[in-house]
Amino acid sequence: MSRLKFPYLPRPVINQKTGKRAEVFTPFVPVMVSINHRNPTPPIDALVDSGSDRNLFPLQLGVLLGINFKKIRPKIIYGIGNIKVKAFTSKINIWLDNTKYSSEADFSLEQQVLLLGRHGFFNLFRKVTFDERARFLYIETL
Amino acid sequence: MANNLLSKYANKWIALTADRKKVVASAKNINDLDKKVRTLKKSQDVIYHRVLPIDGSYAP
Repeated sequence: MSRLKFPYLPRPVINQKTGKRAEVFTPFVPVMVSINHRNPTPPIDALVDSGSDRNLFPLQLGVLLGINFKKIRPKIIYGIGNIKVKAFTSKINIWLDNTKYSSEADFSLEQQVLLLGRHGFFNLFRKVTFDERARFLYIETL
Repeated sequence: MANNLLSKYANKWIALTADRKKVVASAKNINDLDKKVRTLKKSQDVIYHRVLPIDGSYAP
């Protein structure tokens, strides 16, 4: 078992009331993604989202990985505000800290950032802990 | 990663150097970004990052 530590990444936001710039710290982790036995992508910052049931990735990432979406039946998934989006599920490998995990993800044209959800990411590990005060994410491997 | 650096790439994909200090390529989607990175003369370790919108909070 090991305990991985990832600092939250700062991102710029503009306060709409004051127009002033500020920083929001966000729990991203760098993961590599592959399918079958192909080489993985370079590291991609993915947002760790405990509110997401499943992994949700951009469709263009699937294209990059070589997934043939014509052979996959689409399904509907629901987002915030009950928005419905079409998504395609595929088996993938997620690489975290140079360790490969078998998983799956939904790919959607409407999704732009990689979301790591509870099924397909959180369930691969013993514990995922958000330390909001210190702005660190801890992942304990099995 | 300097936020001033990131602001101009809002809603785009960027490739950062391994130390996250420099943007080496940007594109509207990750597939186009990967193509651009592969054409770079110098082969280097990069991290792909989607810059989220800067004009409000983000709720995926």
